Amino acid sequence: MADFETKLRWLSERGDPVGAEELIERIEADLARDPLVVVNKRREGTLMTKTQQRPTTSRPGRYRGPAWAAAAFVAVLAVAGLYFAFSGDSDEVAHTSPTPTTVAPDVETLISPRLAYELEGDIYLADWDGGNAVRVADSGSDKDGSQCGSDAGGEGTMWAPDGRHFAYRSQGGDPCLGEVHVRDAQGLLVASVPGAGWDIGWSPDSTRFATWVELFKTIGIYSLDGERRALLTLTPGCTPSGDIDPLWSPDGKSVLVSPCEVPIDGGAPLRTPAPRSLVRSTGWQVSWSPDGTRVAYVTSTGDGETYDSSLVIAEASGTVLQVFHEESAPSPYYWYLVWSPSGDRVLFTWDPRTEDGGAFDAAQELRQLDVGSGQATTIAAEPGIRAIRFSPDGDRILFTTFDSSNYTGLWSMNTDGSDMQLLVPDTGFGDWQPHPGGD
Amino acid sequence: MLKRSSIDEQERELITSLYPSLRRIAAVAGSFDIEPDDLVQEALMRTLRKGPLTNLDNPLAFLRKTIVNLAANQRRSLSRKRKALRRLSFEESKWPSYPADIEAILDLPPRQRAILYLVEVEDAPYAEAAEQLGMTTEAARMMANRARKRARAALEVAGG
Repeated sequence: MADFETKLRWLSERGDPVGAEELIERIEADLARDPLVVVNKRREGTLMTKTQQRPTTSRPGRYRGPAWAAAAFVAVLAVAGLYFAFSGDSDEVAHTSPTPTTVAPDVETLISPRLAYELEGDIYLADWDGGNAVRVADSGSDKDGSQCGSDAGGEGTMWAPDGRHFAYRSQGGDPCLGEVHVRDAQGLLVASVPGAGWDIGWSPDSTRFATWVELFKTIGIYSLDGERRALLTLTPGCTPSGDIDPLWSPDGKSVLVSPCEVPIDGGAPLRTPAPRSLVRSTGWQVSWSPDGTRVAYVTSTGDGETYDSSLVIAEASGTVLQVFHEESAPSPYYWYLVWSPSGDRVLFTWDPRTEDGGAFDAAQELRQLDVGSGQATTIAAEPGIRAIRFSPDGDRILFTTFDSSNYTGLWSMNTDGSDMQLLVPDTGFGDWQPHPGGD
Repeated sequence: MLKRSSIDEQERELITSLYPSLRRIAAVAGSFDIEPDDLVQEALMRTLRKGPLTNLDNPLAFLRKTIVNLAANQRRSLSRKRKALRRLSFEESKWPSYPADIEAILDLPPRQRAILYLVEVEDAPYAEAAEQLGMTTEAARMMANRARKRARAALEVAGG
């Protein structure tokens, strides 16, 4: 970074400063020509005094909508057996918890989804509500690449679709360009491979994952044992225009790197036809339904200064089923699309951008689109709110919010916005296991 | 409503004390063919239009955020103007020149340049840098990571 620092310092001192006095003279000259009309009102803005509403915090005692508990009661004994067989058998698991709890495992916690999350650079596994947390990756050890001075973490979701493994990133590797680490549902390290990027690109069948090997140039396809099964090279014209990760096609035969689709078998990358070419293939703005038959994505048109956004639901073939669009100025934006397990609803963050363009300043809303009716309802309004995942029964939502300086934590609530609970404070990177009992 | 045609003494002192910091962030975030002082002036005018500078809780952070946002907007506008000028056969040499090894940094978006500058040169904690750019600490950390990755990739390409 010394090189960056030198360049940045040079840049910051470029040109010949006119000095404060001359600048004030210029401003006063402008004011004399064109007096300002000032609205005598204290402007509300992020950096001015502002009262933020925070979600009410109530520590959950137990999960309040255990539909899967009743449905899977028969499996309890088997699952409980597995639980006790595997718990605490890892010599690399440090039994420290950021949120100590004395609640003993019961029927609900045994068959409800595990929560994997990052906190202060370490990775934890916990019950669905953050209880019984166990640290499974310690940024202080050398195992996850901490020799590069970086903590573990990432963006997006962590768990594979089948709920048997989860993954996260660190900035380890050689030469510290990044690594992807895969762990099983008990927290045991399964694989560490070199890889750069942000989200984790799990294949639909959960048997592989994709990551940039060389950022924006080559994509590695890895199996769960860490063996590289393919190295895909982007051709000219396929370089993505933003910080995006490879996204799998529902059939698992290719990865989408907007504006191209790259076959896993080594075939030449192809520029994708509409509507896929409209999709910025980031997990924030495109999401396949769990059964892979439909896709939700965001389109945005504009002249670079203004834009107009829509949320589109389409068949996998490209046939557009619904276009959710709001006529307002400025145009809102849609982020963080999350499908319900049954595919009947899509959660998204409604972002009314501020005049300064700051996406994180505004009071954003978490909305739920009923795919059948096309109606969207607001579930909660909090700065920086975004959904992470539905619970396996579709009754609750895992989400996070920002306050003025940081993530407030991982939260959970019912899909009507009620019973909001703080699960883990001070982190925004975590994920519920898609299928409880996947371990 | 009231009209104003001058800057009061308190604001004058405030501008004088903030000027060096404002100019530096303008020089980092602004396009190379924009004078940093012009960006600082525009940010001050826009802010004064909304109220007295002394009303701001954190005038340095507010003005720096405004400067970076202006730089981002002007970068978009300039991009379109450059394309138009090229169509009209303007020569590249008409544009200001800069050292070749600075290009990897200039290719970063203004906000990414600004966050790297604040964190790497001014040694600002992420929380402070985030406030000055109008984002969360976590977003600032992520943006800085992205900027580093992107700059490294650009430097590798430039280095062959």
